[in-house]
Amino acid sequence: MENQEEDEVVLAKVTSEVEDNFEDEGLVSNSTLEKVAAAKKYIENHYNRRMRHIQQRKERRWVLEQKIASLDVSEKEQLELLEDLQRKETEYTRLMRNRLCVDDFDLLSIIGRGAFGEVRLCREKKTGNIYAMKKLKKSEMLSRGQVEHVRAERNLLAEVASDCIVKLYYSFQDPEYLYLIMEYLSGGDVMTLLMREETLTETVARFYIAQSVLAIESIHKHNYVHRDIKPDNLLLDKYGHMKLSDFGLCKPLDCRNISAMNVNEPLNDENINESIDGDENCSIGRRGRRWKSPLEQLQHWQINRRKLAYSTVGTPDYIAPEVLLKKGYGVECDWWSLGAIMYEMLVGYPPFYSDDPVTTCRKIVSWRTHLVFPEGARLTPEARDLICRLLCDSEHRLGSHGAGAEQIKAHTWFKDVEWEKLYEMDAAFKPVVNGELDTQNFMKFDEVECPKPARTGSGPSWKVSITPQNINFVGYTYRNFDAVRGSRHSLDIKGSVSPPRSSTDSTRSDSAIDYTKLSTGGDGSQQ
Amino acid sequence: MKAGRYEYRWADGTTMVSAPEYVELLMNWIETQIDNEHIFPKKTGEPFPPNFEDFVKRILRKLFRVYAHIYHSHFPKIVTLNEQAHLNTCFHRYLLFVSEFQLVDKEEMVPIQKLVETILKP
Repeated sequence: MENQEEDEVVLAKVTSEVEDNFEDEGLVSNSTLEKVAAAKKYIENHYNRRMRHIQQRKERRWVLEQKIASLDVSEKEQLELLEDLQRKETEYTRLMRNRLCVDDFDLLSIIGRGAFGEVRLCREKKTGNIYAMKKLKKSEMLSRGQVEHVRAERNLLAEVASDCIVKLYYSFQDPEYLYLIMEYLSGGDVMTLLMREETLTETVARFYIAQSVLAIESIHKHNYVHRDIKPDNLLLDKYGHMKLSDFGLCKPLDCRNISAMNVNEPLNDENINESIDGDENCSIGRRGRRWKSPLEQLQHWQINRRKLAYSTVGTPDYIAPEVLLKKGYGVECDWWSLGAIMYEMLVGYPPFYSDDPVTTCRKIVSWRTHLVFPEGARLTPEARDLICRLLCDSEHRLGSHGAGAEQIKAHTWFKDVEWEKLYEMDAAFKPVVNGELDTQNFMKFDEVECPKPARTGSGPSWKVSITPQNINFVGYTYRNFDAVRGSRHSLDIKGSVSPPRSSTDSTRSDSAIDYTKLSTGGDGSQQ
Repeated sequence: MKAGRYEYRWADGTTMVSAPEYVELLMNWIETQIDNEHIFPKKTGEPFPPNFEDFVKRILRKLFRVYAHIYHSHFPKIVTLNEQAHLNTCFHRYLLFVSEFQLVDKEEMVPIQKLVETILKP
């Protein structure tokens, strides 16, 4: 009797619960919807990452097996190599479980600063390895609409394994910041190189423009458009080889005035005397009253460049007109930037330079009128031709319409370039680097005191990672397999860290001589 | 926390708590387990403890209860929120994993036995 009553009570309870449940369906709060979206994104990212990890592990195994097959090593040695890879995979799996945070690193010098954060040298406490830590403020990313840009950067760096691109080792976040732990390239960048040297010989310029072509080709193959390639994004390692970087620490233009720009309002072009010299897209102008002399241009640029390097506002000097006008743009906008950098390497200042960024933008948009080579510039016809084919409308630009890097590589200015050996041969310029902590090739930045974030932020991390505020940054954490070091038995699957040095030949010697001349203030002869 | 006619209590039967409380207590406890380097070693070459499997079984057994609660008490809402594919994917993987390595006793799975049998049916 009592048992029967108890069962009935339980059943009734369950029934009423079900009824309550259905009533709830109509009252889904915004907070719930946000949490659902965050949960979905988290789950999708989690399984995508798992699948990618498994796939990459198979690939690493396959690559090693191919290498072993091509080597003449004993069976015992083969087993040792395979066991070493297995051990590394195990350690990598453990590494994936580590919850990294900024406290795992000793923070050293600041080597860069932008609107969204800073870059500084750091040392991983556990291993002693030296890295560059890029720190980006989440609130700034959100308020400036940069979330997708940062995600794209992290995804590109995690995906591309290339000699031409700076390497990403880890990425993680805390409630306030995103962190990228990257390869430290102690040779500085092309910007600081140009600040010291003013101009480069065509031999040196050719080397770096060619390496830049390979780098841009590399990111384009992964469907990434950089849009903001400039000398300070072209980093140099300690051997002088160039790597493309700074995809997400761009300094945003102050675009308020640019949008009001009238495209049909050329700037007093009646003051400029033009003559057609060969290419119809290229104008060689004689000095007009309004414009400074080339020497004045150079001096002003050198002063302003130093200011720009320390400011958090970017320069538009290298940005393609279609990007400035906010019309649709494609990968070819990066080739325009390359043309602007090449011009600066050979002439000494950017092609559309003005003290006023808005005027610079107007010049870029009216490039037909304002692309001018100063009278004193001694460029070979091939160099001029290449610059003019890069600084032109996007329809006719080299590399557009799917032609890509091959069309640029085929240009006669690159006639003697051995594209496959660019990262194996000695670089055209050898930076001075004293020890792995040396930052002499970077600008000096003052410390700004900022409070140290707590290791886990507020509350347990599983809670933090799923909050609606963080939905934009789900899936940011990353660890590179190369962060796990092998034993002395292991083959370096991704190639040696230090590329083998080829012996210098007469071309390299010529380059060295030319560079020495430049450093002593000589004009530098053309090749 | 209920799953149909079954009720789960915290601290293995001594404390009655609501489902949200139970889930939060459980997640915090699991995080503590995973962060414990004596159970889940992080350093290179450090071995797992001899009774590692017991720890794993305990975690996975308790996680099952969360799935049971969601399927029993909230599945219509999950469908309304268009989240059932995500839930099913997670549970499917969980179930295949614990089944492959026999990490959760079958008696523990009785509350959603039909669903379990459907997924595991060859």
